[in-house]
Amino acid sequence: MLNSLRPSAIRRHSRPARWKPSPPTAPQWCAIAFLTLVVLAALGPGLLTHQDPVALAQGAPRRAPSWAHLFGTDEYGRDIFARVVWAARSSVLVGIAAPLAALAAGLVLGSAAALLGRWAGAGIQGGIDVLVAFPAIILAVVLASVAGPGLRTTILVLAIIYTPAMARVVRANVLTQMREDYVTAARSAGASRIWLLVRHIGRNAFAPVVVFATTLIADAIFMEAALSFIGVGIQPPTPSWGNIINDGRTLVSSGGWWVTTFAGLAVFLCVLAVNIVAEWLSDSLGHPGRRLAAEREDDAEVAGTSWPRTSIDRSLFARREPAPAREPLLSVRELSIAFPDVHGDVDVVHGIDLDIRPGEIVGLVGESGSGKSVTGLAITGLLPASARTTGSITFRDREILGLRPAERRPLLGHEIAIVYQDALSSLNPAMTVRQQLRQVCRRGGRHTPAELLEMVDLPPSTMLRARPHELSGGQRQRVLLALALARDPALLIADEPTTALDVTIQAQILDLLGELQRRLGMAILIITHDLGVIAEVADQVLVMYAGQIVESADVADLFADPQHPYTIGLLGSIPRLDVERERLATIEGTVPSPNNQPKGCRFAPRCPFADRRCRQEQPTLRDVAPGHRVACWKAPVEVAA
Amino acid sequence: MSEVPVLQVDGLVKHFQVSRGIILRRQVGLVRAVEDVSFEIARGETLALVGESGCGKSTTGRLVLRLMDPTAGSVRFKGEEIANLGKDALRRLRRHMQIIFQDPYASLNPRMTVGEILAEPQRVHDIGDAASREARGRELLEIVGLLPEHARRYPHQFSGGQRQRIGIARALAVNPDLIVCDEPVSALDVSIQAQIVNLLQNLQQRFGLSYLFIAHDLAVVKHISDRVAVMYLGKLVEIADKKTIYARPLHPYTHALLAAIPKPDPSLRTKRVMLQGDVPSPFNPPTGCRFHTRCPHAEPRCAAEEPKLREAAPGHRVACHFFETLPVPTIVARAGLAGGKFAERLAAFEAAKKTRTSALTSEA
Repeated sequence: MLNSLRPSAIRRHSRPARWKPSPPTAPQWCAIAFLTLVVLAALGPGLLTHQDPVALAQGAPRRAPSWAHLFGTDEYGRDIFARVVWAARSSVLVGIAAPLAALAAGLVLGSAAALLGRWAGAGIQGGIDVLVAFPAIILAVVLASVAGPGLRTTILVLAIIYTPAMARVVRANVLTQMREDYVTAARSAGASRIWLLVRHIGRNAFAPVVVFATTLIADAIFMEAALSFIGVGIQPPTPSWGNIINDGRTLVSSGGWWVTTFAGLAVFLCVLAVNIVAEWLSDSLGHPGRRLAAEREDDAEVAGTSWPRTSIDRSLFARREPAPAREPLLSVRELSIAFPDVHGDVDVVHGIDLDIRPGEIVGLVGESGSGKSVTGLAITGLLPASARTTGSITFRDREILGLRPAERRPLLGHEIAIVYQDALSSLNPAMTVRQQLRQVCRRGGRHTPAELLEMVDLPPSTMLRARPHELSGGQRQRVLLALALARDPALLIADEPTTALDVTIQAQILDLLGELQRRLGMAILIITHDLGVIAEVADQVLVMYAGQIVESADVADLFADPQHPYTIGLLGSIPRLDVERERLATIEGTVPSPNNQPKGCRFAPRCPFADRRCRQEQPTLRDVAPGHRVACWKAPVEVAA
Repeated sequence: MSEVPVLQVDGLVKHFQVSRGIILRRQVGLVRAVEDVSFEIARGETLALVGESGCGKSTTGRLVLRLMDPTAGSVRFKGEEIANLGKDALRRLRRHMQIIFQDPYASLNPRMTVGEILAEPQRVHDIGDAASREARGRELLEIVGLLPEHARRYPHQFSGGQRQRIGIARALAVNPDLIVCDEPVSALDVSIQAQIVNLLQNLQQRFGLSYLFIAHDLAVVKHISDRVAVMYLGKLVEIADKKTIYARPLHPYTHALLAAIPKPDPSLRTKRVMLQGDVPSPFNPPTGCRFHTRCPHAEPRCAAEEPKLREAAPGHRVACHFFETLPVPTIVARAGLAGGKFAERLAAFEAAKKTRTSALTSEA
């Protein structure tokens, strides 16, 4: 309960402000075309057929399809094509009216259940639950016998049946919205409940609710046919697909297949088309629930839980002693990454060099949008397929950039593991810690789940049985680390491993990372926006800005002798306890977007030292001291006399 | 000091009942989220409320704004009791108290333009007409360092730092006296944090605002607060002015919070005294001193007897039985910017920035 009061620090991406449907695919076009035809038939059946659907003896009775009667005739000589076309009207009417009525009732009941006090809400919820328990057919039979069967009764029955589900969806959406910070902001500004409902909740909850209503249309069309078939829906002689099928029953036994077939086909195609269109609509809206589930799956994969076991070189598991020559374990050269579908031809990451030696902790620092996480993804091969990469990434002298997924699998999890910032969504919420660890251990781990937990300093006795939501943020991060350690990776990539955590827990996790590195001898690439974190754990540091490395050095050198103005500004913006300063230093402005990169030095627009040369020519990395490289025309800067 | 404080909180308590069952709801426990919290904020002052997740600091912030009702205690805004204020009076009062949130991605309605977001508080209080509200929106955007034409954009078109500025502009829209800043920088990059902290300081000077600044990090707070209150499991454990809390922290929990801050100086990388484990559940808090389960100095008395907030010096109160005899930590007592060329480089950076700004302004 307390957690819901405090928004998580995890960044969420907002839904798009305006709804832009994706272009329909070929099947979706077919479905849209068919539905247009059905709606046309409902509006003006005379346009499609000049035959009277009700008049008897339009032709000889019981005739198979022919040019005169496309779908044949029934026992009374009525034209089936005309009947099927005219029947579209009742189907469309029911299909639209019943969900609409349910939507209206659901909006009122659902919002009331969510917004009224506990008792009123519970009362409404109870009523809804009773309605859900009532079988549709029985309700229809009862109502038909009371009010008389017909179109209006059918709509009423279906509306009653759909209202509870609708009300539940509305209630859930309203409750979710109520917890959003912007609703709290409006409340604290003094807004009333009605205001909140109309201006904030309505706007955001409307789309998912309407999508749910469209899924009811297909069901309503189907239910209308079913009710008419058993004689409690649309009454003959008014045509309805359901009662046409019923009429055809007697013909079927004597070999007259056409009546039931064509009416049945109409129901089938119509329901299929509505479902396809509803799905297209809901996909375009990016149904939040569905999207979250997809993200969770992706993250679970990243956390190293679901790679299938493949035959791998056992010698890779030998205890790794840092090689005396300190040959790099991982070597990145001239790496460039672009996303042609998003940013066009621009490189998001441009010409990056990076070496990680065995047992070394390398820090990659940069602001959001600097390309540091994308670099991490490129190393693990988890970039989206649309990304275009050039350059080379070698791991143990083997090129791994552009490997096919099957070739890469033996590497991931075994040799290279990755830990993410968002520990809650990286763990499977439905599985206990033991189950998740066991999954990984079974696929070639050398440790038992209990051992892994001990390695990350968690008590196995209580933790193995726990599920992710029962753990604190720090404990979850430790479980993620345990998952990553299962197969003794040589390289651990930690992407903002402590960003969402309290400082006290951050300190614990950083100490743990350092200790794991000492004990297991693995190399760590730590990706962060916080130079304070780097100072605590890293050996080597690379500072990244707008997709490029601007400075790289040994950690002691970088902090004692920062050369690039960006590094200086970043260091100055850290609040420190040991320095008395009135104001924090800041770097004005923000990281330029990839589409909008300046021509010369990418930092020039924000750099207080920039001159004409900086704005014209791009500086390259040069050595300013052994192992210390800077890409700046002005470095080292001194106080102007 | 005859002026009435902007905010006086006295003996504030918030308990959440935990119930089970649908028809027969029975109470199975009590979460003591906030327990007997008292403090004051003077006009133009910033009080920082610091503690780990789950210590009740955000709940306190929401109680102050009466976004939830307190179980007991009093909250007075400019001398007026708001804990039992009626609906209309509360609505009028809300103009003067605003909130800024932690998560800039959740705090702005994705389907409203920035202009609509900034106009909303004014519309709620029927201030001005559409044109004047729009003009005010543009003015607000300039105040927080954005461009007036940004009013037509939607929140997703902005970066995290820019969104936080929009959130600040919204809070300023109706000229409040008090702003509750609920971890306004914890979700931001360090470089952006500094921009936002400086912006909040500028706004405070310009408009005479009072802040209740909620944070989990004592380092961030150092630059913006006048006084600091440290909370642990729903209780205040130490409160003092800024200078005192960083120079002479007395409660072991404050020591631990200070020790946990990453030090941007690799030469100081040492094994530090660290807080083990997580905050215990407020559902069933430890007996006696709530901190005794994690305290390195705990003695039998701590588990048995709850320490009262005692005055250590004027304005400095501590809830610890043994604060007089505890060793003073050496976390802070250290030479600043130890060695290296960073200090002079930073000075050069700041000087160049200053020259540039003055050159720009003289051109304009």
